[in-house]
Amino acid sequence: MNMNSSYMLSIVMFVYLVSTSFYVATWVYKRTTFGMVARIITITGFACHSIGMIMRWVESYQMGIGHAPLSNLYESLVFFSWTIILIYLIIEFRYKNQIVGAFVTPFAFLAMAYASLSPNIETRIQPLVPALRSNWLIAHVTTCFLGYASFAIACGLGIIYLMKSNNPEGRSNLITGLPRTKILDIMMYNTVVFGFLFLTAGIITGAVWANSAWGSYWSWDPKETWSLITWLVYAVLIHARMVRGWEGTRIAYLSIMGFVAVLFTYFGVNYIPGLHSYGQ
Amino acid sequence: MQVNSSPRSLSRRVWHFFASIKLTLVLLIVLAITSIIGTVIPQNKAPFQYVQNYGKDLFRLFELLDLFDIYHSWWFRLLILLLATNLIVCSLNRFKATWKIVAKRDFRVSKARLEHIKDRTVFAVDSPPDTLYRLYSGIIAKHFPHYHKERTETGILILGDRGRWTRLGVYLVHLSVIILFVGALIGSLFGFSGYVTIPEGGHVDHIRLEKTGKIKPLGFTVRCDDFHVSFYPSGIPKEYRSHISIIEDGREMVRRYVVVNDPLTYRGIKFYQSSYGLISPDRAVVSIFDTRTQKRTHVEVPLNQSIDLPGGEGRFKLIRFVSDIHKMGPAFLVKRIGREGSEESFWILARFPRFDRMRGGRFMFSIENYPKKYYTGLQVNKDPGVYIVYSGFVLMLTGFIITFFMSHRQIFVQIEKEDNGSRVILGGTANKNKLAFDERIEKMVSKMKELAPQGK
Ligand code: HEM
Repeated sequence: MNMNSSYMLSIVMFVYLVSTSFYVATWVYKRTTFGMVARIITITGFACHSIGMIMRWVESYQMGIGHAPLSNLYESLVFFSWTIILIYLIIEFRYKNQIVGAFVTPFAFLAMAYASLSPNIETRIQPLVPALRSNWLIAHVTTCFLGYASFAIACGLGIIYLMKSNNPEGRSNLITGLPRTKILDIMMYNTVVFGFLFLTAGIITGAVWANSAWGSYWSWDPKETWSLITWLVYAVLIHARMVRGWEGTRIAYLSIMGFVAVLFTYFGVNYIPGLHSYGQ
Repeated sequence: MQVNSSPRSLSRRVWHFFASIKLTLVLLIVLAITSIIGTVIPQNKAPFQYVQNYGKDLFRLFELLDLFDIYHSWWFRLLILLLATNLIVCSLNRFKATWKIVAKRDFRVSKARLEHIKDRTVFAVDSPPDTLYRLYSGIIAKHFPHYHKERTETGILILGDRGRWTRLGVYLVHLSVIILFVGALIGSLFGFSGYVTIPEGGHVDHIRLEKTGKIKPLGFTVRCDDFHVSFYPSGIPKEYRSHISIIEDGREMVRRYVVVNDPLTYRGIKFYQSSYGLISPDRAVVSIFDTRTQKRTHVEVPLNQSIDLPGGEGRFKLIRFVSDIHKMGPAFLVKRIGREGSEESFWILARFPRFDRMRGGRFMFSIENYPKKYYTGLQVNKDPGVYIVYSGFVLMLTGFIITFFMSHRQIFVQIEKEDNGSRVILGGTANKNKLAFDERIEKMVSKMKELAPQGK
């Protein structure tokens, strides 16, 4: 079989499955060697992933319909997965905790698996319809997905937080290796804030683009509305924490709820007709 | 009820109601929930569709509550007004205190505040305070260029602070929200949006408004000189462009191409390429293949005129043209009238000459040629609030970067004289990202310890 981007990206899917297993093993068995292996595999996967996306970009030019690989559901899922791993690796180096990986890499794997294996997803490179032929496409999609990926990680952190706070210290082997709740709380908030900045930038670039393409920066189309709903959930989270001083558990629930809203914005809205007919 | 209801205390109570962040949370949540409802119930559909879906009673109830146009309903606007009031009152309420910290450099205040910090590092050094000060001042100045130094009874006190102004970032964010609301309001008061179609070579001087369906004169003429569409090999349109001229008082003012994502602006009114189609031709050249005689004839057929079929086998007529049928391109509706008066209607596709073979009749029809003339569909908008909204966008992002990634950092270093050396006490605080700041302080301390030999 000759090497093309789809082949490369389906290899990446398996690499992430392996790295997920190693992160889970690190968490369960607490061996630093597993952690080292998990890190090396993830970085390798990330490198292949980047190469795969570049290959797809080049292939589209060879087909004479060149455009950045961000133009349909398949490509957006691949990019989503890529941003999750990117942000996760930054967090791993920054906070020097690998157990979080067991709760984050599955998201990246699932996104790749859904992209590659779902029969409803068109994996071929398609030409761009006139409405998508705009430089705003890249700005809009990258910012949105940096936001979504941060929220995916914040959701993973929320799940860890709830596990940790529901089990008193030291009761279970699976709990002891997790970061302290205070650190988790800070990590969760920082990721949410990062995601909020990028979600806002995503909504803004989308609005500017819509205005240049259709003459209206906001038209209450279901996808727009759902991105606003998501934005409101995180605005509540930020204010509740900043100002009302809500402690971690409620913030963790809000963070999980926010990610449900993200998923709905991303997938659910495809079942409601509107301008963003990415998924059909 | 509170007994006291003098106007002053009433206004104070209203003020407190709006200054509350609890109200903010409630409003944000209510806005989220109502927005969800607006995506579950399809908006702005025809009444009969709603009656079909929900039944008469539910339809009346929903209509009473404005649930079919939620985002423009009076109560949705009221929610936004409440949020705006909440935001303004809340900001005014807190601004004075923030401004005190930001504008004034009152070291007595910061001294008092800093001395409460519990997280502090203490270490002993063998040198006297003045020597230490000389050694440390470089490190401190690197992080806090404008630090303040004073002599105390027991030694030296250094106070440093930085990034006070970043406390204003959050006001920028909140101001940007108000600016967005103002921009949107201006747009809805003074803007309009409408639609117009112009055939190639034709011109218009008015448009049809989207909301009311009323005609609005433009005050100038828009002409479509030319229209062009190109396709990918798969048949998907790649680009469509209209050559548009604007004519005012008999003079041509603008002339250029308009393509998707690149509108033309004239007098604040924007023209967006939004759709196109073929104008119904008045005639077509039809090719008729007689499967019995294997003969092909070409006839030019005016629309809606009966034409005799070869061999006296009855007549046929082109009834209607559509520019796109089921995404298979242009098509003609044909009616065939048999010798005995039997009638049959069917579609023939202009792009697929062999399509009619599937019908299996004696005569196979296809379209040889027809005059292809396009019309262009333009979205016409005016929104004088859009640049206000854009400046709100810029302000919001700037505000986020300041509030999320910058902080007001303060430290104190106390160098106190001890028997044969000094005792150094160092503490600091930041209003955001405390973890990162603590790391920085740790680094500072370890550098200080390297510079001067430590005591026991
Ligand atoms: C939808 C509109 C709003 C947005 C986007 C917004 C955004 C923000 C952001 C980003 C922060 C900073 C959080 C941080 O430092 O990590 C913040 C803080 C805050 N917000 Fe809002 N906010 C909104 C509405 C409101 C309203 C209506 C109020 C009125 C009560 C309010 C009151 C506050 C307060 C008191 C703070 C804390 C400020 C401080 O650091 O002292 N916000 N807001």
